[in-house]
Amino acid sequence: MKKRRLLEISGITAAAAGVIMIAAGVTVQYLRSQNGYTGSVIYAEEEFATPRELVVITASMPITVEYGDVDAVKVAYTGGLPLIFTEDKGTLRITQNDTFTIDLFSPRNREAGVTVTLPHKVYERISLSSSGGAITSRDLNAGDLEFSTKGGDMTLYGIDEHAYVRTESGRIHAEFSSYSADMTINAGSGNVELLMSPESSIYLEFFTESGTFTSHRPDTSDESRYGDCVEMYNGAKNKLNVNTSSGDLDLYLY
Amino acid sequence: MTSKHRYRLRTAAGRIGGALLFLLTVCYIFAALGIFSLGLIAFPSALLGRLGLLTVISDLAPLALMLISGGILLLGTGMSLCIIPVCIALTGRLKRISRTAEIFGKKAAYEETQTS
Repeated sequence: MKKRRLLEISGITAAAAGVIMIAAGVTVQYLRSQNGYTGSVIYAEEEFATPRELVVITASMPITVEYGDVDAVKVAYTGGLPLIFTEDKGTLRITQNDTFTIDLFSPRNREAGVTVTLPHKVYERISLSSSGGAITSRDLNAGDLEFSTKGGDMTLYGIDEHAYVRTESGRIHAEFSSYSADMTINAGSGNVELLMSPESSIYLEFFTESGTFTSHRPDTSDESRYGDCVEMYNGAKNKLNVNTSSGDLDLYLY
Repeated sequence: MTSKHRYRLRTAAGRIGGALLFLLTVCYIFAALGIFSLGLIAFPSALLGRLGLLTVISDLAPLALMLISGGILLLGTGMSLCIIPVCIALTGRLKRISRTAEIFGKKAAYEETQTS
């Protein structure tokens, strides 16, 4: 009985002290916010001269790269740590500081991401790489296009030139407008969704260990096929190579 | 309303009340353990952040973060310590409900034999 009483008293005391501390913390936060303090999440925008090559590497920050009506490269980002920008011999390199961080009571940091707006031009190389962040690209045009993630999803619109796409477990959604070059997609355990126009002339090779291929084209049967397969559409001018370990491949027309 | 009906009504109310109390206690236990775990992660992290050993990203000011995470840890500890008394109080309440139901049952049975 005494032990229970002791537990009750110490429990209620600790809980009351906790409530008082939380109230004090909320008051401190309110007073700081009145003075303009907005926490440690960064909202920044930078501008750079148009490079020949663009390299973006992040740890967990999602990347979006697109063309826009701009004269210089515009980089807007939200995150806990400042991004590192390096301009060297026509290469703009954007990297995320990957020191060990912890996110505490920071819902705004969930909006973390970097958006790069490029002036219209054919670039020599665009390389986007993220460990856990998603990659979104819109109609990019470059001699070498490289996209790679470990677990992040990829959404690629209008990649019609040479592209090298690689992920370990992320989902890939790619839309081609006029597929006109060879391409390799390595997807590991992630599923791949390809959207193409009915006129695209493609020789498709799908190599997989345990994935299935499903064509949703109206001119083919809708059946799923387990394992490797080769398909040819409209004369098979350009080669598309898709490799997965357990990821499935789904082909759609738009 | 006869004693039998009253007995049935009270037994049903007792059962619903007992189930609600049980649900409340389960919620309390989960909330206590959840708040305690959150505090256990948040407070040392905030402390390490203040010491410069860890980069802490937060919408809160550093002092507010320390106070709130410390408060959560204390609140969670307090609530966790109170789990045992709360459970004991619940079993006591449940016993009382079942005993009251038993008494009313006996009373109803007695009244029934008297009337017949």
